[in-house]
This record gives sequence, C-alpha cells and structure tokens, in this order.
Amino acid sequence: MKTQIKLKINGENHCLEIDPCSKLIDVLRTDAKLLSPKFGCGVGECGACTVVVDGSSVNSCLLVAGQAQGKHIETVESETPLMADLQLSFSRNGAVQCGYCTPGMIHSAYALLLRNPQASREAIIEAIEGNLCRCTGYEYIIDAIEAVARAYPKRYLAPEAVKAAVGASCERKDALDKAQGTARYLPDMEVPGMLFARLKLSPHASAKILSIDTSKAEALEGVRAVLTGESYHEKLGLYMQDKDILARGCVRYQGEAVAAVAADTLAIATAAIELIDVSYAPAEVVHDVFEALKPGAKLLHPELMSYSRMTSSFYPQAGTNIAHWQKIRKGDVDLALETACHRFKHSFSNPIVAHVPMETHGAIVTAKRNGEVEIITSAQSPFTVRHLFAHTFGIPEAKIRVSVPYVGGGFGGKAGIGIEPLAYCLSKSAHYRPVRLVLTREEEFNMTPARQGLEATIETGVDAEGRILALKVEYLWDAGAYADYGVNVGRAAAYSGAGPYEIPNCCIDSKVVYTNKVFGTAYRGFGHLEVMWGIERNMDMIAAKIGLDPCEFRRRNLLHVGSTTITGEVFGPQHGRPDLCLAAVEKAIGWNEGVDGRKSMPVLKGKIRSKGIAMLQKAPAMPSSTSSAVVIQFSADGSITLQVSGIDYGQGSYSALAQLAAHELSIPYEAVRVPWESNTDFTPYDWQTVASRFTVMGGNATISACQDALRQIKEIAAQVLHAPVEKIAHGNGHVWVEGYPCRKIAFKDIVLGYVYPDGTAIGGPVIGRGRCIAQGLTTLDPETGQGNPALQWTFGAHAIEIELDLETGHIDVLEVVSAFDVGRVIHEQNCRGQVIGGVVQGLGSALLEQYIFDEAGTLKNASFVDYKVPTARDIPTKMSQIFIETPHPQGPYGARGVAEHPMISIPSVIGNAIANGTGVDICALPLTPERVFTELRRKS
Amino acid sequence: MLERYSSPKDIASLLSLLSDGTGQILNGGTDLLVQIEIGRKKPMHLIDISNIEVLSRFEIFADRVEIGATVRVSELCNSPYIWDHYHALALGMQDLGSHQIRERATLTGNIVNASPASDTLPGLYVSGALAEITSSEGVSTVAVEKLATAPGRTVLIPSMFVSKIILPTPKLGFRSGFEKVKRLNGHDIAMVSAAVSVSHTSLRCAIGSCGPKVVCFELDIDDFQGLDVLVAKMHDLISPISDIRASADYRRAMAEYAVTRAYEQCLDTHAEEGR
Repeated sequence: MKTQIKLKINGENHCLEIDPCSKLIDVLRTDAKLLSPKFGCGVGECGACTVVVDGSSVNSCLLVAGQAQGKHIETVESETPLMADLQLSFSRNGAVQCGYCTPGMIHSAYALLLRNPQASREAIIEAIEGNLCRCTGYEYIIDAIEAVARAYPKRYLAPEAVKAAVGASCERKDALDKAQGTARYLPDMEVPGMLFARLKLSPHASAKILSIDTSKAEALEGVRAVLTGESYHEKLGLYMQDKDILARGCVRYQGEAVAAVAADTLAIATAAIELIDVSYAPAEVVHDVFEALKPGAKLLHPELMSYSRMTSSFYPQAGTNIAHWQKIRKGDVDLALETACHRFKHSFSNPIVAHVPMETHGAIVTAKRNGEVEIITSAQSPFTVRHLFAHTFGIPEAKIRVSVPYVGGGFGGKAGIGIEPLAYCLSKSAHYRPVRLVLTREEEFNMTPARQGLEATIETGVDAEGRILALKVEYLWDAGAYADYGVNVGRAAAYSGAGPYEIPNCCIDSKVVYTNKVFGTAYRGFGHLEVMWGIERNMDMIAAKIGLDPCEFRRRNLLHVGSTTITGEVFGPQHGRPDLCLAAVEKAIGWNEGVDGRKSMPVLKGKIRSKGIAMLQKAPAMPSSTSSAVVIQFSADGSITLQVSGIDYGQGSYSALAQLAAHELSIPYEAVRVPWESNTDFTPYDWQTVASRFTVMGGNATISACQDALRQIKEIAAQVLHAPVEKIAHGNGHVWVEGYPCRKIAFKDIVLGYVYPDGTAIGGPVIGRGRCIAQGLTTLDPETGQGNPALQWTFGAHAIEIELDLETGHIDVLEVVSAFDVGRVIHEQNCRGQVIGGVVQGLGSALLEQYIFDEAGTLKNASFVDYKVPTARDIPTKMSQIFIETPHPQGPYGARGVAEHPMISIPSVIGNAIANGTGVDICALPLTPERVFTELRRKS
Repeated sequence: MLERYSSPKDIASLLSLLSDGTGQILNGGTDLLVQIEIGRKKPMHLIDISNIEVLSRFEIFADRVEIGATVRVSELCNSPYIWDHYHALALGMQDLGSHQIRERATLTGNIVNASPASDTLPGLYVSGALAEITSSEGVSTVAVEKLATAPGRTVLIPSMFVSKIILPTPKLGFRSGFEKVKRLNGHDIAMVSAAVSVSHTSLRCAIGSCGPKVVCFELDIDDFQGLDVLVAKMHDLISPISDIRASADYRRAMAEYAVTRAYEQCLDTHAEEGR
C-alpha cells in the first residue's frame, strides 16, 4: 500500500511513492539513494543510522516514513557551513577511523550545535552517547565537535595541514571521504541483477538435524535458491579445515547457519526463511572446556584427525576435543618449583567476547557460468579470501577476483574467510545471479566467530630475592564449535604466554578445546588480552604476598639484553625497552605518590580511588613466511598511486604508507594516492591485514617500491644528464647530478618516459615494485615450542587510576597512561588514536563484555540491548600516551606495530587497581558492578 | 503483516480508527518499532497520533501540569519547571535511553509499555501522576500505577488510549529523588531504579526492575520513623528475579542502595524547593 510521502532532504523536495510503514532508514537508503545513514542494529541502540529530522537527531531505524511526512531531513550530504565545519574538524582531529559510525556521529553533533552552538564538553558527550564507535574511543570525536563549538560564532578553521614528515600527523587520506558520506562500504554497493540472501540459524547448541523441509520456501514467489548443508560438501578453515559451509547432519552451536535463501528482495528472503522447517533432535551440550576434557566427553568432531590443516604448526589430539595442543618447554619447571622459596598457584578466567565492528559482515558474490567468481566482501584480507576460497572449491586462483571496499571495522573478526563461500553457493544455485548477503546485528552476534574464552592456571616459583624461577601454565581455550582460526590463537598466546619476563624454567600447555558454543577467531590482541589477564594479575598477587612493590617485582624479572625468551630467542637491543615503558607509566601516574601510595583516601561517601599497573607484549602471530607487496605507478604530473592489498579498515595504515612514500620519494603527501579499494586483480599480494603487521611489512614494501622507482628514475636521469647513476641525487620531486643542482629534471618529465628536444624518447612508465617477507622466523618445535616465531615484539605498560563505588561495585576510570616502545612513530595522531581506541575497547573487555549462555547453550545477549560496549560516557576522564622509540631493524624507519597492543592488559590493570584499593583479588572477567560488589561482600 | 497506516488529525477520527480493534497506536515508536523489528509484535494497522494537535500540548496550570500523549521526553527534559517541581521524574527521563531515543520517546508511551523497568513510572508515581484515558465512552482518569497489570500489559482495551498525563502541582515541602543502577554509564535498561518523594503528609516510593510491575507504595508520614522503615517495607514488597542483567541478590542490594540514595536526595537541604 504505497502512498505519496513528501520529504525535504538536505533542502531539496522529494516526493516518494512508498509504503508509509517502511522504515525511514530504508526509504533514505533505497528510495532517496542517500547512503550516509548506516545500518548498525535496527533497534535504535547504536546510532549508526542517526539523521537530523527537523533539527533533532533521531535513529532513522525507529521512524517510519509516514512519521517523516513533510519533515526536513539533513545528513552529511548537505552542504551547510555547520556540516562542512564538522566534517573538516572530524577529518583533521583524528575523529575518523573506520568511518562507519561517522555520518551518524556528525548528525548527532550537528543537531546539538544547531540548538546549542557553544555546547559544553558534557553536552557533547550527552549528544553522542547514543552513537556507538568501536574504533576511536570517542576522545578525538568529542575534541572535534568541541573545536567547532569553541570557534562559534566564527567558523571552524582547521590548523594548516601538516607536511609529509614521518612522525607528523598528516590529514588521513580517507577521513574526509568518510565524513562527507561518500565513502562506500559493502552494504552501499549493488551489482546489477543481484539477489538478497537471508540465513536460518540453529536455535539449538547441539542437535542432530533430522530433516529440513524447504519445499514451502522454494514455492514462494521470488525465491531463487534455497540451500541446506547437503547442497555443498566443502570444508572451510584457515589453519584447520573443520567447518561446513552450512551445518551438515548436526549443529554444534546455537546460531550456526543451517539453511540459506536467495530471493528477489530481502523481504521475500526473510519470509522464505520462516517457511523452512528444520526438525532437530537435541543432543548433549558440551558447555565448557572442563566438560569437554573429561574422559568420555562427547566428541564434537569425531573425524578430527581427517581434517586437513597446516601440519607444520598444529597438533589435534585423536579421540579428544583438543583441536590443537601447543607446548612450550624451557628448563626443568618441576624441579625449579620444588626448590623455589615461594610457590603460588592461581586460576583466571575470561569469557567469550564479541568484536562488534559497526559494519556487520557482508559480501556480494557472483558465480559465473564460465567458472569464474567475483567476490566483493567486507574482509580484512582479499588474498587470503581468494586462496582459501580456491582451496575450498578447487577453483584455480586465476579464476577468482576478490575486491574489498571501505570496511567498517574488523578487529580480527573479518580475517580469514567468512560468509563468502555461502554467498557463492547461493549464487551458483540461483542460476549464477549475484547474491548479496549482509548480516543483521543479531546474526553478527549469534553466528559469526567471537573471541575465545580462556581458563588459565598459573603456578609460579619465586626465589627469596623476588626473581621468578619457574612458571607452569595451563591455558584452556574455549574454541567453541570450530577451530579454523582459534588454533593459532592457542599457539601465539603460548609462545607469548609468560609475559615480558625472563623465565628460566617454563612449561606451558595451551590447548584449544571444542565446545558447543559460537566459535572463536582472531580478535585484536590475538589471545594476549586473555593471557595477560592471568599473567599480570598473577604478578601483582605474588608481589603483594612477598611484600614487594609490584613495579619493583616486575623490574626484577623483565626481559633485558642477554635474556632468553621462553622459546629460546635471545633478547637484544633491537627488542626494545620494556623497562622504559614501565618507568614511564610509573612516573606519569604518580605511583607511590600521595597520601597512601597506590591507594588513596576515600573521596566521597562509599567511593575509593586506587591505582594499578600492568605490562604487556605481543609480536605478530603469523606463519613464518608471510609477505607484503607494493606497486607504485606514476601519473603525468609526477604524483603516484600506491597499490597495496593490505586493508585499511580504520587503522590509518594507508596514510602511514603515503607518508613513507612521500618521504622516500621526496614528493608532497598530497601527491600520493592510495586507492581505498583493494582488488586481487589489480593490487599486489598481501597475506592478511592482521597481527599489527601491515604498517610494518607494507611499510617496508613501500620503501622498497620507492627505492625501485627512484633507481629507474635515476637510470634515465643518468643518461640524460650524462652522469653515472650513483651520482644522481633527488629531492623535491626532482633529480640532478650531485653538486650541480642548477640543472634539475622533474620526476614528471621522466616517469612516463623522457622526451628529448628533438622528440625522441627513452625510458617509459616507471613502476616501482617493492616487497617484504618476514626474515629469520621459524616454525616451533612440536614438543618444546622452541624457535623464533616473532617478527618483532612490541612492549608496553599501562597505569591507571580508578574510582570504585563500594556500594554498587561500579568502576569509573579516571586516568589511563599507556607507554609503548613503537620503534618509530610514523603518524602521531593515528598512533595516539590507536592507543585511545584500544584502551577503550579494552575497557569493554574489562568491565562489560561477555557472552552469556544458558544451560541449553543458548546465547542470551545477542543484541546491543544486553551486549553492552563502552559509550562516550564510559571513557576515562583522562588518557595519555607515551611513545618510546627504540628502532627495530625490521621496521620501516624502525617502526613496530601497535594496533592491537593498547587493548592488552587493560583488564589486568583494572583488576590490579581493585586489589590495590580493596585487597580483594578478582580473577574472572568481566569486572561488572555485580561481580565486583559480590566479591567485595564475600571478603568482608 | 503490516498493511495500513493512518495519521488522524483529531480525537474523533482516532477513536473511529481504533473501533475495529486492529489498530496499533504509533506514538514515539522507540519501543513499538523495535518490537516489530524483532518480530515480537505484528500489528496490521499503525495509527500515527503525532498529527493530533491537542495531544501535543504541554501546559502548566496553577494546580497541575498536563502533558499530552505525544510530548517528547526531550522537550520535558528541557523544561526548568519540570526539573524544579518533579525532580525524580526529570532524573528518570534524563536517563531514558540515548539522546536520539529521548527525541522520539514520550512519557505516555513509556508507561503504556508497562515495562517493570520503566524509567519514568517511578518518578510519575511519586509525583502523584494521573493518566487521562480517552475512549468513545468519554474521558476518565486513573492513577498511573494502576495502568500496568503485568509486563507489557495494561488495563487499556484496544479502543482506549492515554491522552495525557496530569501531574498535580506539588505542595510546599514536597521533594523527590531518583536513582538508577545500570551496567555502564551509557544508555542501559535499569538493573534497578527507585524514586522516593516526601511531603508533609506522606512518603511515596517506587522501585523499578524488581518485580513484574514497578513496585509502588506509600507511607503515612506519621508511620515513617526513618529510612529503616522505608527499606524494610521495600524489601517486603519487591520480588526481584535473576536474569542476564543481574541476579536477584544483587537487585535486592541495589534496591536498598537506590531507595536510600533517592531518599537522601529528598533530604538534601541545598536542593531547590520541590526536589
């Protein structure tokens, strides 16, 4: 029942023939073709679809078209001065990372400044609290809005753009595009003739599938394909191929996809899903790792040993639920424990946690009749998608194209391969029509992989001087139903599993265990946040018991030049300075200063303040031979296009690469273009955008591509200038003979071929080619874990001050100071932005986030109503970042990765602060008000 | 299947649209559209009441305040009069959802949802609010706490609607307070909430999220011998359950905390008259 709805959109009148009951977000995106309001949840919890209606910010998913009749809707597509000022301010002030929340955020800010042009910081926080951002940690967003408010009544004037110096904060390449709403994400894309897919998910955590009746769905008009697990038999997985495209025979977690539909419209596909009848026989549920490891436990994968896997690194255990058992053995741990002066045993636990990218997973896949496949996907790693896809279906890689547009956050959840194979199967079954599958938020929570749970038991032997002699650790990873990626978390977190300390005798058993829960995958920190929760709480608990200051206890045990790590790596100067990180945060937080050192006086009725310290370290977790490549092509004006297949899904790596290229070639930052789309057809190979490795390896490849291009340019110049090539100098986009700078040739006169005055030409288009492969890494010995797994370690430390309400258990974070030895800061603002965003994401893990399952194994909080992530109101009052720069020989200009690290040890530092303030040691996450309250009561 | 949308301009048209019993009133929509999205409600006919002018009035009289059904929470949050006279209500509204939600949500919508976790019902109850119910039979009023019968259920039948909320002007010496316990500082459903008001004649208390309905009770001021009496009475009446947001034990402890805090706000001598 369509009627005429009149809307004024950004000053223009629109008369739309639409259903007045349709949601405003759909009307704007589909009928008015206005793509800045983004879908995030559909239930008014995330704010991604916020638009301005008659001057008020509202969620466009909570308004039907009829309610908007006659109203004026404003979005970032508008060109009002206030909108332009906000966009510029967001872009210049580091307020944009993945950009998916950015339009909604700007809309909230716009409505605020319309009614209150000089809004206070508090008013700004109030206005954007309903806009969730998973990347930035909000601080720079608040700053950006405040900058516009402070300028009033004048217009916001951005500070002059910074020049391309390495270490400076150039305006991000992607920021304005995102702030202006013109950046295109997967859900904004259409392919002619495409169908829409929906999934049917299992309501049972463990059940036999008795039958699936798809006949009614197939009979529905507009349905083009209906798939079940029996339709395709290929197995999927990055390291361990244990997962079906759709559940076959049984379901192993609640939320597992059992059937899929492709139809002409999303509404038809949704209706068809309802018509599919699945008959289940519920089976025994393996709830947790302890149940899974009991003798005689039900096996989730009886055929485990037959799965293909990366045999050099992963060791499933026959007849068990153990998908991988990583061993680390150094020295004689049992002897050392027996002879130690002090001996401790502590257990720690971490729940399963969701990534929550603001853009859910999505893909548009076209199976072609000629055997080719075209995939557009919201993924972190186009080449890995292509490789695994080819491997899974036995299709030559040359027949597959994978392209990745802007990606609205990933945090590891979009690494490896995901829903692309399912969309492919639907396309193939739907007579080769393109199929778009974009997950709902509910599906994102229920179906897509999460961060694994971890149960850790740590035994420690310490000598009389407070030196750790022995560490005996068991890590039991709750991998959930599949371990295609989780096995590598169990591996990486084991070789890093003793913390940044010298441990002479170490034994770690890290077991990745199947249970009937949503399965695990990479998540920012790759097991390290979970491991460090135990290791760093353990350090404080021991320090308290042996009467040492926790910083001093750490200092006595830190890795230093000459130490060997638990895998036998000898610590050298290139490893950086964990000691300086510790000292920096200790000083900045005022450790042991004030009335009572790290405790402080009760500040208000029922509230106390206390401080905590924790350390961390991480190296990229990756196969020993991973690599990156960069291609540089020149334009007629001497500017370049830098092509790369690592994905900038918010980290800012493209801007860092542009800085490196500009610096190497001595051309302006503005003369470097880094296309936002990566495409296996056109951009060169990159393994995966994971592990905080991309700025490092992509950066090295960039430098090498620039040097390759310069060499070519200089060879031409040498001919023209009649000089040996080694005598050619360059600078400011020109080349000349050393000592004769008066006769310069501009790059632009060489890069497409040099033309002599008589018209003859030499050279031709210069194409710079650069590559980087990890050097000196080895696989680990299967029995001892000895070897060299780490491209580069990044060490860091956090110090914190919290305010704890003893009456409710609620924690407010007053201050976080973080220090990292990053080797070299490439882009300062992005570097700080990563730290702020990581700290706030870490606060989510520390204080709020967990999957809650009932007895039947059903996920009970699969929505933003009950899966809470930090909002603008939940950030620390003060955050500061300290960068220590000890160059790493394998980093571009010495840089190390620092994208994941800020999140690690945030739970630990809060747990330590609670213990310092109250004497109560909490060993399970998250530190919800109820948990803290209950633990405090139990003690008193 | 949703197949009809109406937008009446006056009460008479609204009553006639409601008469067949299939219509679902769409007010702010912040809850209804979520219920439709997740498939919990499947109305056939949405009746948008936002174009009925008389329902959008927010009027302050000498003896009462009248808040029309479609007045938005954000508008009320911006009213100094509401803050000065109905502090508990103002605090509850300020903590209702996010800013975007408050821009659409209405007080009437919040109470006819009949959620035991309502952010506004505690403040309304302790302010002595009445709901005006309009039906083809005429207009009547009912105390706001009498509307809900169970989670999501009210005494209203489909041909009736709440047309306004009436708040009596507080007597001299009336003060009220509100406390909400959440999982985080950002927008959240209350694990527990409580409002308390004190006047020369009585003490009123309402506790949210501690039973199938908001728990409301009144003590004669002569029977009120101190906070302990209030807390004991509260414990007698609440029946919290354990769910994913909180355990029953924690809710009990937090109910005590919230009631105490709300009561203390009433005693705050620095507060403006009326708080």
